[in-house]
Amino acid sequence: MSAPYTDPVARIASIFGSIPRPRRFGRVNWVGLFGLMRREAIRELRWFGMALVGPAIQAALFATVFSLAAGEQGMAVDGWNFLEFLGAGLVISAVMQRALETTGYSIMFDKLESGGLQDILGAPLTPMEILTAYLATAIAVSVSIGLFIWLVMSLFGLGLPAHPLAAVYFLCIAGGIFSMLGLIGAVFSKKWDSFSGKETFVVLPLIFLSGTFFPLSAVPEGPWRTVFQVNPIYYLVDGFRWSATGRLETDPWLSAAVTAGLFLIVYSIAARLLATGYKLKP
Amino acid sequence: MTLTHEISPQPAPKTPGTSSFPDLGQHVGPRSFGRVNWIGWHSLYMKEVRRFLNVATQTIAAPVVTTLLFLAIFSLALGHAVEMVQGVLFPVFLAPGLIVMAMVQNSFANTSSSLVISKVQGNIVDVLMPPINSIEMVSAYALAGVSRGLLVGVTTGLFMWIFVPFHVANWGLVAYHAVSASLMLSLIGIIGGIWADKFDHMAAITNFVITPFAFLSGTFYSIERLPEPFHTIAYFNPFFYMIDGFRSGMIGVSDAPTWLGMLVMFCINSVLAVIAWRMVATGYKLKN
Repeated sequence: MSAPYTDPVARIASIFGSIPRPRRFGRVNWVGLFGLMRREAIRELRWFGMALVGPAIQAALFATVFSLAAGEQGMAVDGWNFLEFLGAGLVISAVMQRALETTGYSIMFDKLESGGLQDILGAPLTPMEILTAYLATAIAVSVSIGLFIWLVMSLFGLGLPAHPLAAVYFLCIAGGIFSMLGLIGAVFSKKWDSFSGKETFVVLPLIFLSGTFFPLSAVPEGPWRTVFQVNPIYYLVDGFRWSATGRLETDPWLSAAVTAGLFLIVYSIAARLLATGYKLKP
Repeated sequence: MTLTHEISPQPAPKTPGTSSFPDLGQHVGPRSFGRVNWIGWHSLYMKEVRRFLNVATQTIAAPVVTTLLFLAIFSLALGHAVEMVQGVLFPVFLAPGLIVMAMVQNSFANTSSSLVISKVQGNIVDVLMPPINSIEMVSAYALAGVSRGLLVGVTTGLFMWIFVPFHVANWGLVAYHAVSASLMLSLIGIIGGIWADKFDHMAAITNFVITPFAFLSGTFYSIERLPEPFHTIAYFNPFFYMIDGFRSGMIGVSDAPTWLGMLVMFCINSVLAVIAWRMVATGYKLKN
């Protein structure tokens, strides 16, 4: 006797018309990579209005309040227009905060609320591809928010960048560093409030006390100034401010080197965490 | 009227030959209470208080850190330009305003987030169903918000006192403005929380109303500094009166007369309380 489909492969083929095969891809799963980027971008776009408007209003208020409080004589910092100085700081601090939240909140939500993290970890994506997708989306989102705030700050006197290419570099590296920090923070946080705890008690002081709002010369000499100079975020802010306004406090090459080094460190940590599946995979 | 605490049915003593069911009619019934359902009020109030105490690092410690950061930033950034405001050192001028800002932001966050989350998650019925009337409900929410505001204010004030030594000029004025400022934002939070359908709406209220009013209220500068149209406009900002009144209690320096600030705060709170009460009583966006 001969049943028509004894062979299981032939039976499946009879159902589907042809035999389904696992999708093949080369060294990089571009479809998966872009799929994950697209998902992250769509998630971000849902809140984009508020994510754009909130920081912009905040930045405009900061600029207004500072200029009202400083008055005429306070409008100069070491011979530089204070609002220009402040504007650059507000742009870069918004980029840093947004990049942290884009990646961090996304992973926290997937981990705690939707269970979507398993879908990402289960997909045929290497840790590098996952990391690249998060990184690229966070940079795109945070830099576009930074540019919007730049637009708002131009009403207060922040001009076009003095060194456009350097500005692009510092904006992107800020987004990169903080999106990786967001990923690391999210991996180590069991609950929402432990993530926002890290944000409030570690990252926010780091951002606020890194020369975003005042020059290094305002800090009294001694141990406090040393603390500032050790803070790598200071180099990020100062490098960006140089590229945006031309105001030089530290050598921009040093700033570029420090920020690149910091990015490599946080990137490797994030890559290691994803590769080993620390606290993510059972 | 007496308050009965018995809610658990107590089995009636069995007499042979009768039904084995306890005589429910005698022991179980609607709980009776007097003019005010104190148990219900207290339960709702404690629920709201425990809600924020449960995450005290986020609701108490975080505002303290943020406020101290603001103090550091503004003192460092403007220290070279502004030494004295109205005859006091700039950080001393700044501190009371920052304390009020921390208090009101947290009062607002407490009531508004609680209501919006309850509405989105659907467990608002657990608050609407119990025999609590609208006044009890509004006052329990509002006082929980005030409690958080005061807790944040006291903690922030203590930490600030380490860095900026100030002595309080008038405790009565400080207490009045601390309570009325927290109450005002708690009530706004209730009204906003009932009105908002989504978290987006809440974010919009915070971004477009609360933050601008709070920032432009004279926390960071004396409104004497403002050019003319804005100087008059500033007097129409209710946040100005709470910060100015609180500051005048803390360091004895103020822009507006004391009685005016107290009167304005009292009137605003009365109006807001009536609005919040009517919203709950009519069930606007709460019951359908």
